[in-house]
Amino acid sequence: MDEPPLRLVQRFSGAERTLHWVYALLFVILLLSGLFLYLGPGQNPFLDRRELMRSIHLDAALALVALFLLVAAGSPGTLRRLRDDVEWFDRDDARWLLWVLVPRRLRGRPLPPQRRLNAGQKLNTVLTAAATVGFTVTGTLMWGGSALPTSLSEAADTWHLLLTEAMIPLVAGHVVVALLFPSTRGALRGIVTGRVRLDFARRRHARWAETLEQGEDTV
Amino acid sequence: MPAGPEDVFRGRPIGRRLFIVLLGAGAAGIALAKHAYAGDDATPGNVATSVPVGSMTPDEGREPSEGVHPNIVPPERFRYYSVGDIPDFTERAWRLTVDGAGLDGGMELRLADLKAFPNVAIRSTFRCVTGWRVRNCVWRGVRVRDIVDANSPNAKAKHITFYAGDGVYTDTLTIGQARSDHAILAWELNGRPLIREQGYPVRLIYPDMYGYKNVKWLRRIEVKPVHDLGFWEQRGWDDNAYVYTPPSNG
Repeated sequence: MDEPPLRLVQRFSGAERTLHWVYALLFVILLLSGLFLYLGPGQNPFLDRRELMRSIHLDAALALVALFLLVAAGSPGTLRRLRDDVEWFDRDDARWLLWVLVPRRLRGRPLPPQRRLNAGQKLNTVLTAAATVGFTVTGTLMWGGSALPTSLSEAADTWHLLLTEAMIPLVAGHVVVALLFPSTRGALRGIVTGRVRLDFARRRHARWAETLEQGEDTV
Repeated sequence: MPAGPEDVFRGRPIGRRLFIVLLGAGAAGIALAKHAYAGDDATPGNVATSVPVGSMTPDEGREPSEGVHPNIVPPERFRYYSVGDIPDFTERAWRLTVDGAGLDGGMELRLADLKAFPNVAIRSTFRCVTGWRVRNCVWRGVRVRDIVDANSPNAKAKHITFYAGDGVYTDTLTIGQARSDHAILAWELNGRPLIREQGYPVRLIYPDMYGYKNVKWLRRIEVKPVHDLGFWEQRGWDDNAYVYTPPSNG
């Protein structure tokens, strides 16, 4: 007899969810405070709070670094598992990336089976991690500001802005897929409660579901 | 080496490589940008260079159009900000008042009177505190110190407040800053009169400091013993808005 359709399985640990949501919150704070440092008169209601915006931006950046240090110290397995999850890309991942934007009726078959993180989530994680390092390095150089050659602080400033422009569509796409697409909305439960329905896992992450049923995966 | 069954199953270890490649590309990007900006490091000694007056003729620049700065590197363009309405002065109606307790004299200048002072031209980068910048701006004008000196400064001449013609905006320099070779009252950018958004007919240019110190649509220069905070400084912005490590004597 089949499993009951509502059986829930653990997809994300508490540390993973904390990392995700605190990162998301800090990202929004950094984006908005950065925007209010960047925009000029006529576009910016917080110009007379520039020092406050700068403090918020710097404090949020420090909190972001602290977040990774805390997770690394308090739950070293979390970052290790994330690293292992995103390390391997196989043919199914390549095919998944190739076909994911093609509507099902044109594709004519389901997407290739995926592990706990699908290929898009892996790519998103790697890009976000690299961008976070990029923001940290360029932000530190900008913060060093007048103590550094202006060519260096201005080069950092240019790339900080370019990184922001690159990250906005990436994050926007992530949010749209998580919130608006009915077929992928099941994943939202996972990152909120930690658990997803087994039928969702079988449908969207079949290879991970196999390992669950074989008792190989524990969070 | 041929892949074993486990490798075939797991795929290729790409994640970390991709991460490292992205970091390498980012580092290379910063190095390239630094190299591109290298000739433009701001220091007290090179933040502006004197150039012969008239060395930039209009023909060297692009045709001016509303809101677009002629003769600039393509991605670099001015963004025009104003906290009040942009004044619409005519040369005929505009006057510049020079007064204050720090002067024994005082005067009211028409544009032609201002242009009769010794003209200077400086090449500098215009830097906005919000991060954008425009390189190779050639400004033509007269030195602030020549205007001050023509009005018999006295012992009370410690600070200068510059008033914009919008009736709202002000900013200040110390008398020491204003006596710099490259603190000028400019009426021309790259061989053309300033456009309205740029501060027509005359604006302060002091490239040692961020753009908000460079008051547009100048109407009044007040030389005085006390220090006023400018429009943005009253709202918490740095009074010493240097684009480089400021000199220890401020």
